[in-house]
Amino acid sequence: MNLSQALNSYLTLNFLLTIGFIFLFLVFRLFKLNQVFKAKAELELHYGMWLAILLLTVFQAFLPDSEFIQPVAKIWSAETSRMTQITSDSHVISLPAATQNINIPADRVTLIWIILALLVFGIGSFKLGRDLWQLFLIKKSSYPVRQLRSVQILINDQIHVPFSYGFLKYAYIVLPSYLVSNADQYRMAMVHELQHHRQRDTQWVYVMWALKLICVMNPFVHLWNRWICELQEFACDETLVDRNKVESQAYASCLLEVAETAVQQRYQPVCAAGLLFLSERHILNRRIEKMFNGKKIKWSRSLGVGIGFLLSALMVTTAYASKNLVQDRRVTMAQAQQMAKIASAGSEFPIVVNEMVLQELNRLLGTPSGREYMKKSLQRMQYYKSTVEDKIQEYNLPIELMAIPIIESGYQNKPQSQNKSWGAGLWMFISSTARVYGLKVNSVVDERLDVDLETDAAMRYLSSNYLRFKNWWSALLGYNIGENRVSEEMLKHATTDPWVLVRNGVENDSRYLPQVMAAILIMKNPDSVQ
Amino acid sequence: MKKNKDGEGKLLTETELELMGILWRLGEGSVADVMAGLSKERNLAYTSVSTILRILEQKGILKTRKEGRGHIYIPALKKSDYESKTVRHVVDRVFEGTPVALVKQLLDTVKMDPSELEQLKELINRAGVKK
Repeated sequence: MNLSQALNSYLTLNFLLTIGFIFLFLVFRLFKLNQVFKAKAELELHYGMWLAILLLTVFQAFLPDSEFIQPVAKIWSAETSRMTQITSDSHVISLPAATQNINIPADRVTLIWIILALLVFGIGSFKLGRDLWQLFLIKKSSYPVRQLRSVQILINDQIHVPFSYGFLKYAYIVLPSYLVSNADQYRMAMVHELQHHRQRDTQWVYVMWALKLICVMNPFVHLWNRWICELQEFACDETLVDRNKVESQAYASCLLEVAETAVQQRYQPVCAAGLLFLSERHILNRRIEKMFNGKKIKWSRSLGVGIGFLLSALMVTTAYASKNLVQDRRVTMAQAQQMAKIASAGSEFPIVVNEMVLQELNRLLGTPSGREYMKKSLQRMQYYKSTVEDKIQEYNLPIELMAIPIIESGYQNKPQSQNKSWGAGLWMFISSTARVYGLKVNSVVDERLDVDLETDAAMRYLSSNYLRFKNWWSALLGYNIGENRVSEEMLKHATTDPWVLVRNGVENDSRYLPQVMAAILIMKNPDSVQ
Repeated sequence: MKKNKDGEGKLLTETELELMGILWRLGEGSVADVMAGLSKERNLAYTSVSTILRILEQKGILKTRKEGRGHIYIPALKKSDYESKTVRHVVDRVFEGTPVALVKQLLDTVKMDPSELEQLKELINRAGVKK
């Protein structure tokens, strides 16, 4: 995993956490679902979401790649002179990598990492060190008084608020010594802390802590952490009252007393779950309120599952969409011109390198998935190479035309039903054009899928366009949007240069010509995809 | 696990002091003995007393001796030592290290009868001679 892939994962993690928090906030606070759900159920939903987000971030690489290049819907027919252009939105999922603004250029990646590392390791380690040291000091000055299976109870003179912590198979509860004199309060505090252990809050604390450390600049992570801490407390209170392990009023007064004493305590270790937020008056009020409003609806489980699914779907979509945020390689104009030089050696085909072509080169070569797509396309091209090459030579056409199916179909011979636009086969003929060029397309047989026949048709079509325009790029533009339309637009814009038309937005998809040009360059420079 | 060094440095908490007072009076005792020594209004559970005594043992302030099924707790810290430690603490913290201020405050706060004042005068003289 290189730096930019790691950065991509980092950004994905942050997006997922942000979206997850906002969604849950809207659902629970705005729609007041928190009054429907039991705190424990809500807490489990939050934990589930975190688990999902972490898994998605790790396994994002295994999500299927969407079609990297979407061929434009070809509704026109080669026969008619009146073109009905239907410019459908061919980008079903617009990859962020396809637009310019979200891309992070390769040279900035290192700089971003350095800044992040300073923040994360600087501030984060300092805080972590301080907390761990504090915890160590407290542990050292505590006295073990009891062992309840795997949990050790300790008493400490210096703390004012009970807390718990644990890792692996060790679990500790530390209680302030003033609680010992009051047997009821002592028992309630211990039962409350035990519930934290049972709910695995002491283990989730590490995840919370790690996320806070890694996503140090993301305010939603901090907010979500606080929310979960609150929920942990609510869930403990709720379970204790529900199971009648404590009597509500006595428990409430115990909370109040500990809160009063807690005001005196200056420092509270961050990594231990406990009655840490008691000193905040608003949450104390809510906790006591919640304890005495026991009514919760039974069907919250199915509702929870429903919300979980929705949120998971949202998460997966986000993870899918953020697969290609970071461009880890940059192609410069100089490099492009170098590739052009190699490409035009020994050939008379007009090689064009301008800023549109450069942009497409960066799209195809700048991200790992772009390179992956090109690599696969070139591999598939080898499979059809002999057929296509023979046809090209038979019609005495330039070999560069072999690059067209890379953009049209990625050299995948797929039927119309499997394509987003209306074409089929390597050359993506639509049925009407195919029939004009002698291919049989009906419910029984689709000769577009016969590579020999379709390639032959493509050669004839391209030759015909070339004869008409005497220019290969115009021929290609005609292949893409219809040769009659090309003629019309040339008259309109008073030019015979197809690239001028492209610059004026004449194409359905303004990237067809640059894409084919980029594909030709890559085809002639196969090392560029490594 | 005994943590002697920490225990001897810090002062006792209120409840600990209460129980120690009883033990100093009795000389030594079990949990039941200490409970008996508490006043009737004092609502302290058996488990609480037992826990506190065990902590005091870990702090090194009490020693234990097994007797039958239970333990007998013996003060390892002398009452006078604790008294001097407390006074030292008050003088240092409250009166900023000036004992005169403490004695002055004492005379103003507590009503002493003539025999006590005599005792005090004698102690001062003896202290002066020692120097």
